[in-house]
Amino acid sequence: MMARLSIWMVLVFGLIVGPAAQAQSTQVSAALIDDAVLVTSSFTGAKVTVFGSVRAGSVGRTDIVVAVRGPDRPAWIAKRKRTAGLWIGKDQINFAAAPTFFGVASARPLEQIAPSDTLSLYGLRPKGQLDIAKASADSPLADELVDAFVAQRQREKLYVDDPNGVKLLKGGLFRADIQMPDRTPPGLYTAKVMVFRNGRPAQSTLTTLVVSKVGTERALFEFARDHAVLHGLAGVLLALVAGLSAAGIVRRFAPG
Amino acid sequence: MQVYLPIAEMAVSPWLMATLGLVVGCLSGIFGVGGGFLMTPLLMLMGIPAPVAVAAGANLAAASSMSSVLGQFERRGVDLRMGLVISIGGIIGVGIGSLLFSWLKSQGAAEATVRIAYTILLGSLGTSLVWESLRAMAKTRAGGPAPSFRRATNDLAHHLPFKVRFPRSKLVISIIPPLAIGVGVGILSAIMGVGGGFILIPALVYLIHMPPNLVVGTSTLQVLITASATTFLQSAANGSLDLVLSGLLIVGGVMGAQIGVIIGRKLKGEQLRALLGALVLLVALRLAADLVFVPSTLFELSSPGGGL
Repeated sequence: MMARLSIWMVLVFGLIVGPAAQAQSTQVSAALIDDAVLVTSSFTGAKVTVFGSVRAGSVGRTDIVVAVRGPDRPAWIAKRKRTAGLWIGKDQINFAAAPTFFGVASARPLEQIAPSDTLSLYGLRPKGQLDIAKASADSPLADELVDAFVAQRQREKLYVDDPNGVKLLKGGLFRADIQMPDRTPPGLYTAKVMVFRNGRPAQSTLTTLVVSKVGTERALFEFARDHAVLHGLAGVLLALVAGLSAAGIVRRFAPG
Repeated sequence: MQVYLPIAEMAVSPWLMATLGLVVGCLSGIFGVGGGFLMTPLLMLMGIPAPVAVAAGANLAAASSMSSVLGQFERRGVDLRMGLVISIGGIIGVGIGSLLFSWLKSQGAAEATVRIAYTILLGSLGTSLVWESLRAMAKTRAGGPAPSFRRATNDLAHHLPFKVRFPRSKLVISIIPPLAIGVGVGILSAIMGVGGGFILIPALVYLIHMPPNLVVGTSTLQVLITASATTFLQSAANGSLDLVLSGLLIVGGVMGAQIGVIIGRKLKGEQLRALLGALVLLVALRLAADLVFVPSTLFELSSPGGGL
């Protein structure tokens, strides 16, 4: 307990007095190759690349961790139970907000970089990003369901943990690549670059990137959202015209 | 190559979608149904969110019924009055179903409801199709006459009030049964993205006792109207119509439907029906597998919209 407390005190102390002292020892600057990801009709996912440089003392080991977080959306998960012979989702918990994408890249497994409580505290674990709805928080199954939720999104490549995603180049330069799948929705994404010195967070910097639909995709999406009635009529019209022209073509070339 | 769907917010192969449209369209051409009842569950099995799959299925059903309804009018195979009465019921039903669907979607239950409804519907439809055609085949082999329709005169439709004359069908029946059938089909259409032809055809034969030569044409007209209403309301009320997906499916679908009509003329009825029944059963079993057997994953998760 005392040890834990003293770490905290050092941390707090570091945050208060830190900037001047730490700026000399560790400095990081980073930038996104593209701060806008364009969702076109051929969008099949995107690779977010962060370039940066870190200047740190020569003592000990420096680690770079990059986290990209997508916009939050509500979600739910249910555990299936056999009810009247059918497997139906019964025990359900709701998330008021869950990141649609959460990717972490590092040069070695996170567990080797820092203790797990530090990782959670600094928001590098998907589990800590989930905002459980108040009504669901007391569910006895909450723990199990949250783990299952994270595991499922990891299978779908929406929550990614890539221990080979950061490449350390010469002269303190680094490059981080995080792959986002096609299902990541448009919105504002946050990229966080963190520098760990000997397992302790030393510096971090935040940038944002925008994933937005462009061209036809954007036009169609906005048309559907802003003119839902006209959009529906367009769908009906599409069906009628396609049906009519198919019938017309067949009548011309294959009468009877 | 992949194409990004703006509403479903995912990428799909356009060739796969057009081929899927072609195959389903071909089947719908053979059997004279819209094809929504096959397309919607197939799209869901491919990972398209249920609301988007429902809108796309209805849109396809509207297109394929449009491509054949003019021919039906020319062959004088449509009872316009009956078709319109059922369609009025259908539009009311689509309205009710659409509200129900919006509510299910807000509860995050749209996906599960559509799945269970499809399992029940396709399971019973497939079983009855296979059973009927096996019986018919056995009868033909035994050399007996084909089953004939007897026009009943003392059933519900004749006892209820508000009698209306349907000159083309040579029927004088209460307006309530066709309206009620329309409402029922409309609700199913809004929730499941079907045109409803595969339910309406037996209903017209067994409940309304329409002359067989008018059944398919009248049902096609009703499917056109109901499926159009569902397409429209899914977009206007739920914002789940994806025009890119619909376009791909419809291009394949209307071409397939024309090929299907040609194939349908050359094949034997009973074998065809057995084939369709087997196919429908297969889709139902695949959907049921997750419900009945120990699932591969014990968890299901989603967002209110169905997708992310």
